[in-house]
Amino acid sequence: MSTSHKSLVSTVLREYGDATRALLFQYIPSSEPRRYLYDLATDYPRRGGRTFRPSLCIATARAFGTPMELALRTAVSIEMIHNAMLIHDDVEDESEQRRGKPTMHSSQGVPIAINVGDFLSLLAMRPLLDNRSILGPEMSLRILEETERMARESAEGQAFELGWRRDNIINVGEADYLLMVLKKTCWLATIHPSRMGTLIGARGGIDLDHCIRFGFFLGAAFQIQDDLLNLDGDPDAYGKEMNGDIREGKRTLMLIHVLANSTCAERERLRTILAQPREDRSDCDIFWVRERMDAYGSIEYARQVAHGLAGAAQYEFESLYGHLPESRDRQFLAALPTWVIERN
Amino acid sequence: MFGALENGVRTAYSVIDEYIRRGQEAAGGMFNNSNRRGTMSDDRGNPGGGFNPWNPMAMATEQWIAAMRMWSQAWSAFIPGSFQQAGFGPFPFGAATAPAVTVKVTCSSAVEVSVNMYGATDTTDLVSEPLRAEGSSAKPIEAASIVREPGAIRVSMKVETGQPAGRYRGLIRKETDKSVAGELTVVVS
Repeated sequence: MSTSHKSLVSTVLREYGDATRALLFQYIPSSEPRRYLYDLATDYPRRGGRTFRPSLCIATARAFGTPMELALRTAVSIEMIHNAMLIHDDVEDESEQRRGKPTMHSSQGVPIAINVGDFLSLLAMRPLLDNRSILGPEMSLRILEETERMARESAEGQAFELGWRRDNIINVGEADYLLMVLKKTCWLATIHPSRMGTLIGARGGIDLDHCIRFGFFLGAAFQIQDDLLNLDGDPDAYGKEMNGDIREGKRTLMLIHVLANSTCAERERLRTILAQPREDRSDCDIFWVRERMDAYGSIEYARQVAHGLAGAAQYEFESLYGHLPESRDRQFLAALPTWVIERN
Repeated sequence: MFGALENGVRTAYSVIDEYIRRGQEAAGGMFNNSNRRGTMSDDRGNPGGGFNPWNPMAMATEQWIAAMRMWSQAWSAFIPGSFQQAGFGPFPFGAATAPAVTVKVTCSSAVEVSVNMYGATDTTDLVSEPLRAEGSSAKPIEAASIVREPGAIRVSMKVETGQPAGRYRGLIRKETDKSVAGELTVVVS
């Protein structure tokens, strides 16, 4: 990716991210209880995430020529939901680090963390209701309906992942994995922001289902790259514990590839490791799984798949948004398929 | 490794095409459903044998989803079941009809004007904002005047000679509460 494109993506993410965070913080009450709720509600947003999801929403709307003001509250809602889900995901995954700091449940306890996540989820309604004065009642209600659908898809995807782990399901194929990622990751990360940006920008003039393919390929490439960074990334830049996905028993494309290619004895050892509670998986077990990934070329395999999906995202982008006039936001959207697989 | 890329994309297309197809089938089969939407649910490829919400977080998530549905349904109650106004009938939920619009433009260059009104907008006391060009410091186009006529609204505007080419947009609001009722777009060639 050229330096200018990287710079463009960084600039746009920073600009729209700052605007999103500024408005998001205005929705957090300054009253009590602060120590146990309202100050904690700003914790994850303040840790400096990329704000990729709200930026995608805003940039899509602006690519149609729409002022940022019309998409900003929807973007804030998306960011609130995302951070709420991060808090809950960290509990579900028993993660210890998030964005370079202890996870909320590690420092505050699970009960308080769950409550903060619940609050952020429900607070996400407020900016969507405020859309009424900006977008009119009909479009505001449509956005509410779309948000409900996104939430349902995300919960279904998360249910697959959690259920596979709990029941130690190891015959998960690539198609199963991609369907899980479509629901769990893509709907919140890329499909919903694209749909909302398109809905607001095109005023209902485009069938939103056309956004699903673009969002899916972009989001799937994004997720695979995220999983690769967990194994191969820069620890300082990544912000979570390295090889943490292996320790969690997360069904990544790399793990699925190892399971599909391993010998019977290796498969049985993997099954045993994955059947153990997280805290009982030894460093030796983690290193062995990682070594098998290296031996079978699973990491490079996943990297190739991610590149292919990014290419498909590029193709779908041209089909969906190729007619839009040239603009900084259109260039940002066009650069995303490459950015998602080259970021660190 | 070329096979990995090709096979990965092929698998992904089969997944998403199947997902969309099943969603369209579900939507078609639920045409009479009061939700007016298909569930897009898909039990394909779940070796676990279906959805098993065992995790304590699943209950919280379900509660949140139920709350969002409640909000959505409660919100719909605020949309007027009907309002009577000259030239307009009742405003049925989900099938709003925008008012008819006539446009008068005074200009010396070629322009393209579009007016987008949001649903069955109450057309009393509408005002237009000046139209500004995105990403440009070009002088705004003066706000249009909006006059209510029987069965329609008339939008009158003037584009000055020498107005720089570009796409200009301005919101149409109700003067009373400043709520957005629509938008006006002018493309100057």
